[in-house]
Amino acid sequence: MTYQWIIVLALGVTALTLRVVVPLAAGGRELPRWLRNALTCATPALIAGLVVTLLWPASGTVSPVRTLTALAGVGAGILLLAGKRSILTAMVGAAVVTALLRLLFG
Amino acid sequence: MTETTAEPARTLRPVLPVAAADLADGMAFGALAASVGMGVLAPVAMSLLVFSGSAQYGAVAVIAQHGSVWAVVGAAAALNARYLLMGTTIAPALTGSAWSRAGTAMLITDGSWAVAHRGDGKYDLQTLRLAGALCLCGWTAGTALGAVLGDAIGDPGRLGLDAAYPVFFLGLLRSHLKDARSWGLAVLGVVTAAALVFWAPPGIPVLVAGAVGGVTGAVLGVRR
Repeated sequence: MTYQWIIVLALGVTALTLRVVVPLAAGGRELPRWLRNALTCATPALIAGLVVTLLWPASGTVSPVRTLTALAGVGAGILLLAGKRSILTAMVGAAVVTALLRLLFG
Repeated sequence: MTETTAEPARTLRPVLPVAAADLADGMAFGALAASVGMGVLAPVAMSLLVFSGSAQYGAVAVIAQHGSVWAVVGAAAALNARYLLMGTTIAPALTGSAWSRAGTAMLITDGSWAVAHRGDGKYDLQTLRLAGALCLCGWTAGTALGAVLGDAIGDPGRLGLDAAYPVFFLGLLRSHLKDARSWGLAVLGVVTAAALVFWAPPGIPVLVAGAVGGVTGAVLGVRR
């Protein structure tokens, strides 16, 4: 087995384990009240955290133009969401604004 | 925490641009993987098995430098640790056989988990499965296209789909912000992630943000 296939398999096992271990061990069971409370409250914080990390460039190799055009697109999406538009409309608006700005500024 | 059902067509509409973004991002990943000598099959198998862009990009970077397998596994574990938390939130709703539970759990992504959440700990598992399958198809097909076509595809980033991801999650978050408590938890998540994102390893800020929200909830209890 080659080096790259060992990595593919090791990575696959790691990712699958992290996804299925809890549903296999605790699937269908009623959780204690304190844990239900905790998980219910974790959701908005987790989604908000995802937004922050998605807005942050994943590496130093991302150009400033790319970051700024993405932020402008996200800003347009936020305005559409604030205007009670659907999520789909806001996403398409964000992508279109970003694509147009990248067309203009490279 | 129970399973709820909603009209899949309506709930899946926001997922379509996410799947399209996965397709475009998958093409970029496939082209990158092919460029470091992984060929076509290995990147496609990786996308099917791993189904996690951040972990896969990290792996390709290590492969390009002939780094340690343990380095790849450690980074992937940190990046994907949030799936433990997400798996815990949906576990009570998963009542089928072990195969069924594992099959559904394998389709957990940030997007499918968030779009399936109905508030107050309830999850629509049908939506989670459909959204996860759609994103998996987009990501894997994109990887295959990118690996086959290589540099011929150009820069998928010119489509601007990367800006659609945060808007998707913001839109989902909007539907959960119903009272001062949920606003407070969201702000807590933002502050925690923002404080960590500058220096903590990728994947950790999201996990810690969720954990801080969870601990706060456990301490304060949920208003009924």
